[in-house]
Amino acid sequence: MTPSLAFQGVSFGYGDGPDVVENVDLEIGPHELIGLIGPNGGGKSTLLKLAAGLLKPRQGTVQVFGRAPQEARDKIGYVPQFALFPRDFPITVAQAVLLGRLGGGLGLRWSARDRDAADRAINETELAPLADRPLSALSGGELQRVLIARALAAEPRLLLLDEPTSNLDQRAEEDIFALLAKLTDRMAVVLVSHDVGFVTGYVERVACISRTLICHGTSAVTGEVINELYGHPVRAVHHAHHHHPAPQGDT
Amino acid sequence: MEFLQALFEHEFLQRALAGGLLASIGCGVVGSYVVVQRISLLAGAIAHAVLGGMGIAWYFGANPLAGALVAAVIAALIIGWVKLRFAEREDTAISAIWALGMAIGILFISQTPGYSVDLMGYLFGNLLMMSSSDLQLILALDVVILAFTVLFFRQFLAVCFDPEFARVRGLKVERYYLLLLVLVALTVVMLIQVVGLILVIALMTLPAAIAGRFTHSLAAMMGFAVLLGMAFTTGGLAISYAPDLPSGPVIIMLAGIGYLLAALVRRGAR
Repeated sequence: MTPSLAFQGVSFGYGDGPDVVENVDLEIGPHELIGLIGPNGGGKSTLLKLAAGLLKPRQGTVQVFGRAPQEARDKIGYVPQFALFPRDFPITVAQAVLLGRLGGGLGLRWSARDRDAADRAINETELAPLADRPLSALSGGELQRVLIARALAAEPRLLLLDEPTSNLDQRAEEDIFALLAKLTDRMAVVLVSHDVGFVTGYVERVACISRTLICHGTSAVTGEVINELYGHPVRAVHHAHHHHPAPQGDT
Repeated sequence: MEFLQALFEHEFLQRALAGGLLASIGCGVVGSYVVVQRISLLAGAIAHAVLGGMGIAWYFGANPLAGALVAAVIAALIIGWVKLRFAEREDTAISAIWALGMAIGILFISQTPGYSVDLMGYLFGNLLMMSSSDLQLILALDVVILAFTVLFFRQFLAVCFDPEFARVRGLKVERYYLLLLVLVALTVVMLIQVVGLILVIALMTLPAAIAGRFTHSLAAMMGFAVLLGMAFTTGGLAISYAPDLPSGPVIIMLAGIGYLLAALVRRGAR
């Protein structure tokens, strides 16, 4: 079967700079929920952007359902880091979600098909009561659900999320992961987190990235690996659902 | 009252009023894009660089507004290209274009025989000098601006709101960004006739910035900004008429007071 997302010998660096990711091989199956974890600046967000087709690898290939990401755009849902999102933009929840339907259409009115898809995404993320609210009136968890709904409006089969739960309280975090787990019956879900501790409690598989793929698997995230990954002991691994403040910002 | 009476009697006042009202339409629409994208510095650079085109046109005896139109579009494309390619040097490059445009303009104007007072009109605006061909130009620019805005409303919204996501959806973000800057350039040329190139940036951003505080969608923001622009230009024209003050600065004073009041009201409401 064609993997949902496949990296083969992928290296990438910005401008003339050194490689931020180096020789990464990784395959993700159609119904997987996988966490890309690693330290800040370790290249996980870069991998996500490579998968979304926002960046092109220096070496190796990135394939989404067997095609280049740029040619598989209709199958990719992308959720940027909500913590960095401008909150004061004059736009309502419903309008923001409709932008997920962006394609060839022109003019002020969205087609009935576009509006139906957006409505489904809004219902699935339980945003219906907030549909006419401006983004500026939302909590962090609500904004995150809007960005997920926008990605879902495109009816993707691969969902890519960048730090989906940083700055969220535990309740909102659990809601997001419950939603993502539900989505895996129709799509692969790849999320990036610098917070190895809580992610391992939710996802089926993790890939540890620090410039290159360091470990890979469900139970392999042992103390030594974490030490190698972060360069120092991380205490959070065993109390998996406990969210603790972690350094912000990412590559 | 004196203004109303004069309005009925004098055709130049009617043209001035019509010019202000028509320019407010494109101004409110494009100004909203400028405000939500936070590119008012960029708009200011385009406005000032326009003097280069006006000076050259003047020197060669062409219509300065035609020169302004060409210069505005060229400046917008250069600035857009710099911003997209060399984001880290954007600040310096924009300032350079701002100053270079003005320098070219002043050089050409200084070499033009019969140095004219019209220059003040272009720097600070003079609604009362509005000719019917000026009005036609404003109307034509409005039509172009509105047509593009309606046609590409969702694309422009996506580019302003979240360009990275728009790119994932396959949108040619750079193309729409440059198109938006060209619309900014057209608006600059339109507003030069109302408040002059030095004050353009204020009329473009203040009504939209006020509107943004009270609206929850880009379309509503644009509509409100258009109405505010109309109120400021009409009010400025009326207030400046009897004491024979220059209308451009009075319009900007009104807009500035409106902005301060809106900030206070909004703060009080929170």
